[in-house]
Amino acid sequence: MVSTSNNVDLVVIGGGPAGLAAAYKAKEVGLDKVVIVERGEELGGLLPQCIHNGFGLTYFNKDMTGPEYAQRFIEKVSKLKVDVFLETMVLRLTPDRKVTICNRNGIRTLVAKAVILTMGCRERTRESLMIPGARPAGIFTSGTAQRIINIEGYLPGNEIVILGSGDIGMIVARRLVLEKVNVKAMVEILPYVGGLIRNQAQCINDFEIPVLLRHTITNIYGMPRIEGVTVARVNNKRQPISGTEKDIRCDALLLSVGLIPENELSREAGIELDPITGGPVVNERMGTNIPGIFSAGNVVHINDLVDNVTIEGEIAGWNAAEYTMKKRGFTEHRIKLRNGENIKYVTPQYILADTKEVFLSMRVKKPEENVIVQVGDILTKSLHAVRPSELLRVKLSKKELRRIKEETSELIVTCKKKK
Amino acid sequence: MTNQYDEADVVIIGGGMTGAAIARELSRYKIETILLEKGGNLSAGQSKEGLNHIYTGLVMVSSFLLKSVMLPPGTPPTREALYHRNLKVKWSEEGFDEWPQVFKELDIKYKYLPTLIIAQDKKEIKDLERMAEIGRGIGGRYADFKQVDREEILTLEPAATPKAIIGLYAKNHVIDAFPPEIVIGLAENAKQNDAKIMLNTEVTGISRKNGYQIVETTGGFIRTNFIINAAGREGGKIADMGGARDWNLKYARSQLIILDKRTRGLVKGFVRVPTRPGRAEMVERRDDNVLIMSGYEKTNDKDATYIIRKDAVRGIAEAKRLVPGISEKDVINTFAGVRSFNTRDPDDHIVEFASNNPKFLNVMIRPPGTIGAIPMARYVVEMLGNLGIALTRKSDFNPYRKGIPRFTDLSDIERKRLIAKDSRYGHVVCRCEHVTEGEIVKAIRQGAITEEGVRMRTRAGMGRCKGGFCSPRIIKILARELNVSPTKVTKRYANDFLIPYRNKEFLLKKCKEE
Repeated sequence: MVSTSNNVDLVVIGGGPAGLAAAYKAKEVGLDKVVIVERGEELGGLLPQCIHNGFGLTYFNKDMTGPEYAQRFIEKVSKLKVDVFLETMVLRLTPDRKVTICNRNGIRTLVAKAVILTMGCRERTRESLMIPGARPAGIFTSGTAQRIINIEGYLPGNEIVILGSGDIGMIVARRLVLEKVNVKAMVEILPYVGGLIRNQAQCINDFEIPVLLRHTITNIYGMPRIEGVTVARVNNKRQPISGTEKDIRCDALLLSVGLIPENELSREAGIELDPITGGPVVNERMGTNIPGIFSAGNVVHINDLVDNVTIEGEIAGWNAAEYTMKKRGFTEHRIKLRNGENIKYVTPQYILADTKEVFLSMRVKKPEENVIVQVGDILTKSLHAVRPSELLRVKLSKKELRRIKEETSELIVTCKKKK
Repeated sequence: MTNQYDEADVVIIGGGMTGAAIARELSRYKIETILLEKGGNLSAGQSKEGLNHIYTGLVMVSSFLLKSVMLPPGTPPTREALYHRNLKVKWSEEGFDEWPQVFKELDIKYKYLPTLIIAQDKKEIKDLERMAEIGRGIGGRYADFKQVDREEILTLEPAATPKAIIGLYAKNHVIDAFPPEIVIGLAENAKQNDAKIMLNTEVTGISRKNGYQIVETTGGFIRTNFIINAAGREGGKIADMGGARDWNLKYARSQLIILDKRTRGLVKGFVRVPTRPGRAEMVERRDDNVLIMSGYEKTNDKDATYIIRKDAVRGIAEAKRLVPGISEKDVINTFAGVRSFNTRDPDDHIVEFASNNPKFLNVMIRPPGTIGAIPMARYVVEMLGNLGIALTRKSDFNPYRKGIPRFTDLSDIERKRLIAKDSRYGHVVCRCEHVTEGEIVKAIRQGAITEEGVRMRTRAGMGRCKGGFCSPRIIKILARELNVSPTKVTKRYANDFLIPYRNKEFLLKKCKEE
């Protein structure tokens, strides 16, 4: 069902798991005209291409595949009569919440009472890292390769090397092995594998994928199609050690070297971005610096579990609806969460501390064992081990929130090794 | 090789800036012209990967200054002393002002850029003063600049380094236009006027028979009168097929870096350090991106277009010295251009027939090549005319070529109109550059058969995600429009397939093998 009026209550930009959650929750709370604008051919974001399982473990208490998880929310959104625009691009977003969209039917500008940014992320590229060597055909980022394999039904090569041991890289490596492609090596510059431990077990170990830790690619050769890469061991400063180079033949190179929140629209609309997360600065209501514009999901910070993305999306949806119906305003009392020792980032970056609980998501800079995570002087949590690739979620309950003194304007978050 | 057999008056080998410009010029006359390109798209070599700068005046003074150090001591650096009978300079001088008209005819987007040369220390000030002295000495447009102080520099380029002491400024001495688009525009217009373009056609040999020349290619034979070698970096190899030569080619590479569009506020025009041998650091606005060029090293490898990380990192550091806001975080693309120079007269082009083959013309262009491409093409046609080719103008020569509408540059009203005519213009495929399916289809219908061909014509895939989102979709559109399997879609040539296997077929085959 497509709305014909341009005045809407809520526009959700991006129909992946965060957007779906935000849209259905806003409807549940009572908004009338809720629109999802999705540039792809279907809803679900990246979930349709994630045909492996591991989704929904906490949210549904079930072990589902990506498409199954997505379908639950797609059905919810349909039942609640959310308007969905597919293959529709948002050309412009203004601070006063005018959203100009474009599709085969033409161009429209929706005027929204609230907007939720859920555009997700893109993959870091070979070019932006200036990885040395030739620039032949046969180089893809892992997520694009995953789409090509799982949705389009093609393979980028026959003997593949993967750079980076992030989650996407590991999962695609497993997929390739299942498709009988020779995965010759996974090259990782750090001394440990980058993604979730669970993926390390279920992909690398279970499928015996050769991993070269402390290695990097020093050359890509073969034109016009890739013929191989040269890898070398690195020293403590992550510099290649001369003399350790060895060539690995391959006809495709996949990159799993990081995800970047996709915030061009946010930037152009004047949304304040956090230079470390790459995403909007938000409070626990997922509100940004512009009233009425909220944000959730990977566009805010790179999550690790889609279940958490759904929860974040729901929070954004709920608060966007509240904002629209003006049942609740925002207090001026804002507390900044500052990144202290071994904390790379924390979201939300600010809290209003007027709700019954707040979930903080954070990542550490360096892996460590036996640590204490501290949030100012209001919460202390012991953890067995922390790694940059595993997102930490820390709950501030009402008890902890009440400990915040009236005059507090910032809470320093730290992760220190237990003495 | 097929048995296909073609005939022509002139065969041009090489579909880059030189070949395309000559093709268009020839297509004004009743001369059967065939342009051969070994790649699957035009502009597959230096015209894509080089700087291909279009400039005059103050920027040209750099060449004069570099040349002046080679004059015998005491010789005043006049135009005559520096560039007597030099084709490179002559054609650049003629060519610069012709481009806007050509761009209008070919429907190519262009813009004049201001030039600012900035000196930050005593040494650079001396270099700057030397440049000014030479420019003023030569006069004319080379003297058409003014000296500016720090305040003026920061008014002209607000993001330039506050360490700037003095500078030289010229208003319209650079033209920004996308070189592959220029090549494509020239070639398409030539094709409109009956020139023939053969892609994926590599020349494998040249022989003579009955007064004609036979060009042997991977796509068949062509019998022709004249052959023009416009093969750029491959020029030596082609020259040897056609006749004797007393020159070789030597090469020099530079690393080029492109920054994300969001940094476009950092520079309005062309900003560089004062010229001195070995220094070429520059930052330039190219359409909505920022381009950095760094380094200039001699190389024996004509294919040294690979990325050297060290060079790229150094290039960014040097660029930061000119524009402090530049950051490695904003890099979206890195590539290298390899320029060629002839060894006999490195400071000029070679445009001459092979000594033992009066119908084989070597057109070996050194940089700058783009600026003077139009006068060069006229000169080449004149040379052919002097040898007896009838230069009968076509009365119906049409100089106008329509490009592909650029959705991202249109107003909303223009976009709506476009979408109403063809709904594919409403389907945005490349999200970083806002390129629509309509443009991609048009590019294919206008001749693009490779992913790079589509990219050069539409910019789809040139944005920050480098095709991460759009490339699967572009492959599908190419497959659909060309009526081939997606496994047969290539990047730039005939065999560099992007996604070579159908996974279920592959799997079955592997299982059978076991």
